[in-house]
Amino acid sequence: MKLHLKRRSFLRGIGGITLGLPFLETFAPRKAAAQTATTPKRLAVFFNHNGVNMPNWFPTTAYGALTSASFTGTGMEPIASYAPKILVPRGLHQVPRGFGRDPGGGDDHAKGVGCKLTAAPLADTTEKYATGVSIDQVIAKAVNAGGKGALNLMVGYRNKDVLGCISYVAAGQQASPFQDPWKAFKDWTGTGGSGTTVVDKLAMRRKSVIDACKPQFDALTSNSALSSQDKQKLDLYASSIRTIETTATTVGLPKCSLPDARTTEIMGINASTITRDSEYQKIGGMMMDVMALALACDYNRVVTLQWGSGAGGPIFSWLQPALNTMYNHHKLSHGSTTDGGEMGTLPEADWRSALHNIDLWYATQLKGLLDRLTMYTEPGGTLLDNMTLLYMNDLGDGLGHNWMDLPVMLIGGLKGYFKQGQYIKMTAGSGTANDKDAPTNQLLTTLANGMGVPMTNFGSAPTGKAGEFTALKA
Amino acid sequence: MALALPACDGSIGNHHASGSGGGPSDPGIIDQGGNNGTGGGTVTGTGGSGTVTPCTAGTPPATTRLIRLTHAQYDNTVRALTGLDVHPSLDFPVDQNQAGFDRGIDLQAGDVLGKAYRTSAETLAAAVVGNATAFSKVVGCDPAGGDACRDMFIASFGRRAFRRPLTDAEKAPLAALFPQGASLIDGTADSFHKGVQIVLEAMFQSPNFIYRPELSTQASGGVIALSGYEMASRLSYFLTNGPPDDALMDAAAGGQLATADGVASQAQRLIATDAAKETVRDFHHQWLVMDNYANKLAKDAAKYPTVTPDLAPLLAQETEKFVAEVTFAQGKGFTSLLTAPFTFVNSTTAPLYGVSGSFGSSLTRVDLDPAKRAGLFTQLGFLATHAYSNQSSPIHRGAFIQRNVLCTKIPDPPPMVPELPPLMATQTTRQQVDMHTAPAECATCHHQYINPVGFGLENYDAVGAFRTTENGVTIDATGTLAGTAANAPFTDGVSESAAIAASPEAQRCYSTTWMRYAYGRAETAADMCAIQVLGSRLQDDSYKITDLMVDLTRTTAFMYRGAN
Repeated sequence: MKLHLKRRSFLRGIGGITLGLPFLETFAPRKAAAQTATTPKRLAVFFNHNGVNMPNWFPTTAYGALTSASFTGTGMEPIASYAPKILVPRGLHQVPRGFGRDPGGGDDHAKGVGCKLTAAPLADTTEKYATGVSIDQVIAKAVNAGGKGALNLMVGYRNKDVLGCISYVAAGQQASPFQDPWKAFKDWTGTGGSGTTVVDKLAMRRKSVIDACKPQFDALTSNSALSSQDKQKLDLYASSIRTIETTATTVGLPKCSLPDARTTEIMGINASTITRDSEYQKIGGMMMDVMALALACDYNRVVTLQWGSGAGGPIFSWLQPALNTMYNHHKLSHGSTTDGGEMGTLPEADWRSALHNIDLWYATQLKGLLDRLTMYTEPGGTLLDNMTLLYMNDLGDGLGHNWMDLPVMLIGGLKGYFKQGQYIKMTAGSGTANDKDAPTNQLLTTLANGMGVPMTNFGSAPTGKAGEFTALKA
Repeated sequence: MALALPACDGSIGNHHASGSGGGPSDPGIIDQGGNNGTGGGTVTGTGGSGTVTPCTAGTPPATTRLIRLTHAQYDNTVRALTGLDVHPSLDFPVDQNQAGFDRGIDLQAGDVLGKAYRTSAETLAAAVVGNATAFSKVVGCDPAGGDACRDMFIASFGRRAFRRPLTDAEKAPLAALFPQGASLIDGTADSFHKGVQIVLEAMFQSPNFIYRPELSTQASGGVIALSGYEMASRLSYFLTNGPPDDALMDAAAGGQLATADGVASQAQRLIATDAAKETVRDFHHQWLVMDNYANKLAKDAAKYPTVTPDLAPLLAQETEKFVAEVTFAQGKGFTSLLTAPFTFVNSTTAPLYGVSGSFGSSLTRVDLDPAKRAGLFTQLGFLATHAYSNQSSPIHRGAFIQRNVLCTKIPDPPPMVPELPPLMATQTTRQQVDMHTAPAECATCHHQYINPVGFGLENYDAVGAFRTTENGVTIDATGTLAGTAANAPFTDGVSESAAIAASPEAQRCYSTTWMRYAYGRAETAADMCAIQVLGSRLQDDSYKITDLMVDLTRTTAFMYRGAN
């Protein structure tokens, strides 16, 4: 007789308790993070693909102070009310630089996805993975209690190569994002108190199990036939099962739980269709709930949200004009639709209108997320004041695959680290499509320092530059 | 702004293998010296355009010694070990690809997966202990035997879980862990049950369970021979995505896996299992990227009301059943895969194929008009998912075939914005695409490689239905198989499919792709001899996919490891 275990049985953990409750530290975690009583800083990343409609994306007013009027008529108009919290650096270029420039594999779509958070070249293999770790993982492991990595979330279909993931735990190793909001959520949301006795017992049991396995790990690690990479592989696994979830010591933060109705809704999604275009809006909304909650209750101080895969979809069938019901984002971003291109028969105004509506839709989602983030009041203001959200995209102009003059925004002051309500030109010369003044790796260095992780030069792109973007700092 | 564009340089696998390594002489290995034309397979490899230039493999690359179970392998393993119908990997983070498939040797277990393994181990252990049948299968002796039974369980189940006998140093800590179950595990089960539970938690998290370590250092002739148990795991996880069964474990213990013939004889046995059928299905499912079918079926609702994303599972299943029929029912090979004029239809897809009759909702085998349909690349799944909402896409179809069926290395398109002449109102897609890709920077790859292959399929519209005209103009599906040495001419999709099947490039490419799947890595120069041998065997249509799978266990790379 076979015991048929339903999927959900695995989600509740042993003893009926939901795993991920605040365990007491019965033995040292793999890496101790600084335990502080002050409200922690957090970082969010909101990542789009295929560029934006450049003619009307950036603020319309002159460099300097931003007001809500600066966003009128732009693709970011839905977030206009947040102008006082927005910082727009203009003129950033990606490093490694685009197709045909700088060593490494990949076309501009591949590099756009793989290089933005890693500032590392891509491998010249079938999958073209980035050859370095991404900044979200570096920051997360330094600031999260227990040293855990970032919480990576994704909406839509994930390509099984460089196009499908913006985050890397190590060179060539993507941080597989959660695509199922229920899976992203279940491990760390409490269902109410289990006694500490139960929790302690579980920790002790896990310790005994690990101790019994330890000789096997040791035998392998000490085997001279194993390469150093293999030993690292082993150590990575050993660390992951030794880790006990610890809570950060925080002040006045909410519990990690959503209203029952929303939890039920998330639990009830059909796991086999979550990557379909038809589910994009719904899953996106749920992922933003997960993101906001994870940051607010301090489950994780670094959360990324990736919308779709590079050079891909979805087909935004719920948007106007009709082009948006027929062609996916990538095709529209090239201003051509079918293989035949239809240039000359398809007015530019039409496909630019389609792209603009996509930009508006994403900005509307972002507005919803920002509203949620500002709902949580914390010492210092709101959650949004104690964090920063990085809006980023693979490309600027999708048609030209432009890796210069990138659409980038920082929303939220990160506890006073960043200027607020400012639009700042980062290039020295007169233009903003520039390939040397303001490389993206400096943005990543700046974010790390802002999050309390000191470093002088992030990334391995040979054309990156050391130092922070001091022009962005308060 | 013009950019220098790397030239389309044609297919891989053109070089003659120049191996100098290759281990001790083993007449069963197909890529050593004069063994190329012979071997244990059912075909002598002298079909088609002739024999292979004798070649010898290079030294296999020095790869990782710790190969992690894939998620499918994990599920199959725990099911085989416990008898429980469970799918723990549904809760594991999705793995990334390597060399085009999700079974790469570089897969790792990090934070998220490690925790998921732990949760799964704990859940499984509780499930086994809570189910009398599973408990007795796992424990294998009467708990009344106390410590003696405890030790028998640890030894016998441990051997199955680690796919080799445990050492005393491994058994002792598990025996010491056993009695702690009573105090650490809650509930009303007796202490023996709790002991089993906690030991199972440890075993299911052991690195010797999650990984299959290849620790042999037994060098011979510049390469390393695997131990019998290591070879047993390599073999079973390749062919069945599961752990070695008792017969294979016995063969390992008896030293029968030390030669290619010994390995192949076990391979022949395993290839006949249902699990092997599933492996064949999985390969084609991944090769043809069926996971993304649903997002490629957004069609013009007015023109194609019956084709929606919900049709995706059916189209995938159709192709999978076709492959199974060719391989297992007909005993045919690569040529039939690409040319056989039959498929499986239901009431939705029959009209799209132009097949009359009444059908239900499930798939039924039908013969197709051989003048109109021929194998995989004239099936709806491939055609419809490489097309737009109301137009075909010769570029997507052509690029897929060039890259994944002919293994032509085509660089990515440059970011060009070419000036185009205005298009005429009534044109075919072919005419439009030709004009669109006319600028020099585009034509190099498009006119020479991608377009011709795609144009050959222009008789199939946006959903794969057959057509002879477009916008009132007769469709021209003629061309030549650009990028191949023979550059064979064709007049339509049927003759193009035949040309592809007959091309050494496609034969080598299919072998290469299977090798990537089987070995979990990209091919290297050392593998070229095997690829050539396997490719030449595929010329004969009675050389089945399962023969290819067996022969993949007869290579230097499979029988040995590179010394590192």
